[in-house]
Amino acid sequence: MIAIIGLVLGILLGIWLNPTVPPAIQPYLPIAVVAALDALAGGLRAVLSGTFDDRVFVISFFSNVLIAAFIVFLGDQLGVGTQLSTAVVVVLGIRIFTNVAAIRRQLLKA
Amino acid sequence: MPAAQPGRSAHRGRRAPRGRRAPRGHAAQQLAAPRTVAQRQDESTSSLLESLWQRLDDPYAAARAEHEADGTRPGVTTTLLSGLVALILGAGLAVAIGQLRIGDPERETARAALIEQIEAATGDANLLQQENQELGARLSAERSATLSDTGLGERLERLERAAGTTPVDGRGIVVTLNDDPAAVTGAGDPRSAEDTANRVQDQDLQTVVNALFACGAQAVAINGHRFTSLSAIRGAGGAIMVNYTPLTAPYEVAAVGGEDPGSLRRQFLASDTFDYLKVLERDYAIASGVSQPRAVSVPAAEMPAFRHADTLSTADGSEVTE
Repeated sequence: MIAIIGLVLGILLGIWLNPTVPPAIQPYLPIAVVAALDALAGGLRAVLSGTFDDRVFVISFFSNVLIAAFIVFLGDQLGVGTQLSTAVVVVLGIRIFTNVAAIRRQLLKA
Repeated sequence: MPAAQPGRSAHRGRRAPRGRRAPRGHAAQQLAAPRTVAQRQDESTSSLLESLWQRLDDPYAAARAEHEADGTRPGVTTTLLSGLVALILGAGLAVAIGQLRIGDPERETARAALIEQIEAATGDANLLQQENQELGARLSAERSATLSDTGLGERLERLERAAGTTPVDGRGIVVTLNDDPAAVTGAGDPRSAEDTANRVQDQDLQTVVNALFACGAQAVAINGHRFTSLSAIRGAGGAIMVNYTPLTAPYEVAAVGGEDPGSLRRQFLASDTFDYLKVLERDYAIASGVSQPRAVSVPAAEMPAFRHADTLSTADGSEVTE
């Protein structure tokens, strides 16, 4: 639970400070946000099924964002950045859907 | 949780490598190993989409199982560290989302910078073109001076006038055409203009220019762009291009020439094209006018690239290269 509290505090801190992102990493922000959403959905599912673990949440969040951004970076270097972005978004989208489906089953029993 | 049964069976397959890695030797895990291999073969034969849907990575269940297996709870340090990292991640997430939401103004500034660059480059190109024309005028003046005693100077001047490489001043008329004010949407940008019937079309300008030449004009220019035998009036997506330069309304077609001072105007007013302009004004609200200023000046065209040169003989037999 500490991790979730930390995340919420961090979001507030980010909104309050509102620093400028260097232009070099701006292309990777959308993918990073989608990856973060995936980690959030996974965490929410774990909270509902009672298996939430701070360490796992933080590591999955961090690695998701990092790997997603890295894949897009790699794609940009290879000249297939847009296609790889699409691939990452598709995979993460499916994962988010599956996680949300599990959450829905637990909440609504349907 | 009976509904999540397929997911759970998939997790069991995932746990197998961890069991192999940790040599703790639980009997249950060793028993599970052969089943896992069978399941893995199952998964490898399933389609990619199927595996995407079913093999959902669940590290939470794996961590829980690990804790249960060795009977430990996550330490206070781990938890606090997790909280701290989560704080940083949350801040990053908020910043990223904030950045993405104001992404459009960023693109706008980039676009504005590009437009500024284009305008600056166009200005530079215009200056260079002007300089080029000045140098060309000097060059032709020098050439005329050199050729004056050979008798070719006059001929060259006449040819240059016809080819449009020298500016021409004299009596003439100016025909003005303007779009229907209600149809103008592009706010001065010829490229963004929409194609509507109530705007001057390339065809209208072509008709006017042809009529002026037919009425005896020697030099014609539209908005300062001299017309030569190599010129073209083209419509490009609603914009009118003269000599590959997009023009904006109002269009001023200046013509110099005519046998006597008033003949150009007289003949143009009597031509079919003048009736055509009247029809345009009546049906499409395209305003047009014909004026006869005291002096009309038509600039020189861009110097064409020389493609061919012949050696001419002068009257006294010496050879001169034109």
